[in-house]
Amino acid sequence: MNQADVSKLMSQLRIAVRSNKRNLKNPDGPEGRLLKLRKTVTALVKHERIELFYNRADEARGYAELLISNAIRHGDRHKATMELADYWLLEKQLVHKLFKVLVPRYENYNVSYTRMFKAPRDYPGIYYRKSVLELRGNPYPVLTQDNSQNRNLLHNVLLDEARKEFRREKLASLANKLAAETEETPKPTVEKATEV
Amino acid sequence: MPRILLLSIKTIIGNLENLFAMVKGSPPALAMIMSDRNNPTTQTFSLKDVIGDGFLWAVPKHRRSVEKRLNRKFGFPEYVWKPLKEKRNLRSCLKCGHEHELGVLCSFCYDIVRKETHQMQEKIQESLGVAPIDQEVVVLYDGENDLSPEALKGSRVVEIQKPRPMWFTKNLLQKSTQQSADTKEVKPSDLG
Amino acid sequence: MATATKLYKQSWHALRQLQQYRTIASGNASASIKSRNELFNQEQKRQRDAVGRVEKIEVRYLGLPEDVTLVMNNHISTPYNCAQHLSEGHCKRSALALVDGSVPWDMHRPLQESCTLQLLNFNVSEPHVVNKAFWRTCSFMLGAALQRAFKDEARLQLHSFPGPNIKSGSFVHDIVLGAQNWEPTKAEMRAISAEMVKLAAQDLRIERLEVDKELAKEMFKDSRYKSEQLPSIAQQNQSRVTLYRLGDHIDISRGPMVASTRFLGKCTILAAHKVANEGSTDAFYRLQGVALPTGFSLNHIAYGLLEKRAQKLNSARLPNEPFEEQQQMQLS
Repeated sequence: MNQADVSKLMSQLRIAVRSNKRNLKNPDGPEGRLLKLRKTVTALVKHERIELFYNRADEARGYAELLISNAIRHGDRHKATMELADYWLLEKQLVHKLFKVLVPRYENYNVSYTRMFKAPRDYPGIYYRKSVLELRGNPYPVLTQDNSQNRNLLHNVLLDEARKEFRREKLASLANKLAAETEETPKPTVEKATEV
Repeated sequence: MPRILLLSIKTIIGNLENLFAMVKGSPPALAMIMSDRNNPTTQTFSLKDVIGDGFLWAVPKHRRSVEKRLNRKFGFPEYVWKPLKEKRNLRSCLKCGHEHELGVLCSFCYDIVRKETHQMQEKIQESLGVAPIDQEVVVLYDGENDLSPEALKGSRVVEIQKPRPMWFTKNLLQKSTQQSADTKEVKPSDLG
Repeated sequence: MATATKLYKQSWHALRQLQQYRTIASGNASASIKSRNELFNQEQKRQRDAVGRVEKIEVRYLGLPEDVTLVMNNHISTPYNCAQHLSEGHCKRSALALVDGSVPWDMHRPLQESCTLQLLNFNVSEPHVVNKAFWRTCSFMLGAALQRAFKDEARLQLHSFPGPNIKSGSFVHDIVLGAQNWEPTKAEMRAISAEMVKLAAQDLRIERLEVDKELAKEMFKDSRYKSEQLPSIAQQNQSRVTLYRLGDHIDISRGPMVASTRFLGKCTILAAHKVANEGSTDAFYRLQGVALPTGFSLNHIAYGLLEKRAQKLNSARLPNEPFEEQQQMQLS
C-alpha cells in the first residue's frame, strides 16, 4: 500500500525520448560523442534557438529537457542536480541562467520546454536532415504561425457560441434554483410568526 | 560471220557435254575427300574437341525475358524505382505562397526569421558578455520605449538600433488598418 | 468495433432503401427537374452568346505569391479563371473571391468590369464572408441531399432556407412533407448525412445564374412554395432572380456560395423538427445540421458538443411565419 508514486520519483518529460543512441561519429569515441552533446545543450541554453543536424538535435533535446525538468523539481540546493548542470553546461554562467531564468519561466508549463522543427535544405540536399531546436518562450520571431488562436475561424466561432450558450444555461438554472429556494424559505417564517 | 556462229555452237555443245559428264561420273574433288576418310586421326572426332574448355563461359546461357529486362532497366515501383519520381508532399506556404515540403519549415519564411534571429542573438550576446545570467532578456527595437517599468521589471533590456520589422509584430492578430493614435480628429467649425 | 459495423450496416440499409424507392418512383418530380435544368441550360447558353464581341478588362490580383495584373475577358472570365493563371493550389484552395476589397463574388461568376481581386480560403485572418458563404452552401446542399434521399411518395417539397447564421450553431433547410407525424430515426438522419458526404465527394461545381422573373416562374411552376416566394424575391432585386445549381438541383438563393461541394468536410444532419401542420395531410419540417470545411479537424468530443447544440430548434424565421424582408435582410 505504501508504494511511492512513480511519477513523483522521476522526471516526467513531455516529449518521447528515444532510448537508442544516434550515430554521432567522433574520433574520440564515446567521450567525444558526449562532448558533442554537451556542447549542443550548452548552445541551446545560451542561444535559445539553434540550427543543426537532426540526429544531434534530437538526442540533445532529451538531455536538455531532463536537465530543466530536474532543475525545476529539485532547485539549486540539490547536489545531484547541480552536478548534472555542471556536467551539461560547459559555460558556467549558464548554470545561473538555468536556475534563475529558465526555472521561473517553465515552472507552470504543462507542455514541453523545447520545440524542434525540420529545417529546409536545398534540393536535392545532402543526406543528413537539418533541424531547428529552440527553447519555448524565447524572444525571437516565431517559426510557425499558430492559426488555432484565430477566433474567427469557423470551428472556433461554433465552439465559442456553444460555450456561451452553456454558460447561459448554467446561469439560468442557478437563477431558477435560487428563485425556488427563496420561494420555499418564506413559508416557514410565516408559519412561525403565526405560532408566536 | 558464219565462222563465228559455228564456233559459238561448238562451245555450247562442249558445255552441254561437260554438264552431262558431271552428272554421270563423280567429280575429282569429291574423290579426294573420299580417299581422305581412311585417315585414322579423324576417327574420334567430337564437338567437345572443337569447343574445348571454357569456350562458352562468357556468353548468356538463356534468353533474359522482357519483364526481367524492363525491371533491370527501370526498377520495380514498390522497391526501387530508377527514373525520376514526382514529389507529392509539396504544399504552398499560407504565409508567403512559396512551395515547401510537408512537415518542413517554409524555406522563404524561415530564411527571413533566421536572419533576424542571428542579429538578435549577436546583440544579446554582446550585451550579456560573460557575467552570470540571472534575468530574462527583453529585446526592444528603435522607438519602443512605451513599455511600463513594471513590465520590464526583472528583465534585461537589449536594444537594437533599427525599427521593428513589419512582419515581427507583438500581436499578429491586431488589425493593421487601425488609425494611428497621434492623429487628432478635427471637426470643421466656422463653416458659416 | 462490432457496434460500429452494426451502425454502418444500418445506415447502409436505410440508404439503399431510400435509393431503391427513388429509382422506382420516377414520376412528376424527375420530369419537372429535367425541364427546369433544360431551361437553365438554355438561359445559360443564351447569356453566354449574348456577350458578343470580347472585351478585355484588367484584373488586379492582390495576394500571394505576389500582386499581379491579369488581362481577362469581360463577362466571360471568372475568378476561377484568374486562379488558373496563378497556380493549381490557388484553384483548389480558393472558396470565394473578394472583388474590389469588399464585394464577395462567386468563384464561377463572370467578372463584369476592371477590378481588384482577392481569393479567400477558410484560413484567412478575417474569414467571416467565407464562413457565411459556406454555411449558405451547406443549407443549399442539404436541399439537394434531401431531394436525392426522399422517394416520391413522401411528397417532399423544398420550402426555403433562411439566411446563414453561424452563431445559431446549425444550418437549416425548411421542407414540407406529406406526413404529419414523421419522427426520424437515427438511421434515417445518418442516411441523409451520407447523401451530403456523397455530394461532397462528387466535387460538383456550384453554378450561378441570374434570370428574369418570368423565366424563374416558368422554372418553378411545379413548386407551389417557390412560386409563392418568387414575386417578393424579384421585387427586392429589380425583378431579377438569382439561381444556383448543383448537379441537377436548382434553388433560389441570394448567394454567394463557395466554389464547389468539395469544400464540405465533416458533416452531420442531426434533427428534423416539426414546425407546423400544413393543410390536412402535410406538415412543415425544419432540418438542421452542422458541418466543418475540409481540412478542419476537430476532436470528436468537441464536435460532439457542436452536434448536441445543433439538435436544438434553430431560432431563424420559421417557414409558416409571414415573409419579412427586413428580417431576411438582417440574417443574410
